[in-house]
Amino acid sequence: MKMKRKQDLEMDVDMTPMIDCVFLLLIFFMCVASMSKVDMTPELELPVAPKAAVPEDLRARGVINILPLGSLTGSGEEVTEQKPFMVSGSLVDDRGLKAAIGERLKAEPELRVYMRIDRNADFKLVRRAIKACAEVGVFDVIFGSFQSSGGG
Amino acid sequence: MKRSDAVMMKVDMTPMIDCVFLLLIFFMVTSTLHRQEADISFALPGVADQSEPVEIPDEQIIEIYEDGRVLLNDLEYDSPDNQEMPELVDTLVRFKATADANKVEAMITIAPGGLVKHQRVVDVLNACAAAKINNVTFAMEEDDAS
Repeated sequence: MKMKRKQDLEMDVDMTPMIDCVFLLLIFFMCVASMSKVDMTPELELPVAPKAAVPEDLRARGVINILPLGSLTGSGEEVTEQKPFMVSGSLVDDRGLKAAIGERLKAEPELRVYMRIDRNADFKLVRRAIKACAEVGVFDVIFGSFQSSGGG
Repeated sequence: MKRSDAVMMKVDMTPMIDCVFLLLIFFMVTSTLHRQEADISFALPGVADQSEPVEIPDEQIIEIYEDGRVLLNDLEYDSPDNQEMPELVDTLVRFKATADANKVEAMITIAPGGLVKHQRVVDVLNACAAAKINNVTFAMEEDDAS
């Protein structure tokens, strides 16, 4: 048997498919990274609930962030008793919250409100937010939590 | 000006690939660092259409106080700093079993005080989830548990 090897073929490997792949992956991860930032306030520490379920259905979710009173948001605003709810990056009061949820509800009738509440926030704020949801007509409210208390 | 065809044909791709790999690794790392969030849910008291008379479910009230004490039907369970709440979970499991045996829906109303930290409320919701009680709601009036 004769084994024949082309020297030329060994010398320049065709890089094109690899570069294609790498670009595809790059664009994918860039999209994922920017998508996950939508309305998720990073300075907020969610409570830990080991029995919480990781959701499969993420459609029609409106996010409300609630930080503890007196803390600062990413844009330097202070969370006050009057304006404690953070919707799409800005602090709003009860009326603003209701208006925001009402608007979302018009676009998405099956809206579910996803509340990302800091573990140190007072329950009275949560109660106000739940009340606002109920008054607008959203009865599907979910609390966000981490399954483990691990770092990160 | 002289241009060699050979240079034009073979552009050196190495620095570009280096850059792209670097970016790729950066975005991979940042996307995996993002911790996954999970849901813990409850039901808001709402208006539902009823075609038959409703059997009044067995309802239990859990009060939570600012200092972390958790009271089920005026009886204190677990220490205020215990996040797992094994005693409460045990009681809730038994309550759920009794409710199932009587064919009524197990229902929990949580009444936290206004200054209770959200983590404590989620601890109680977690205990309810551990006992597989899905019908959990909140007392909406500001009561004396503050």
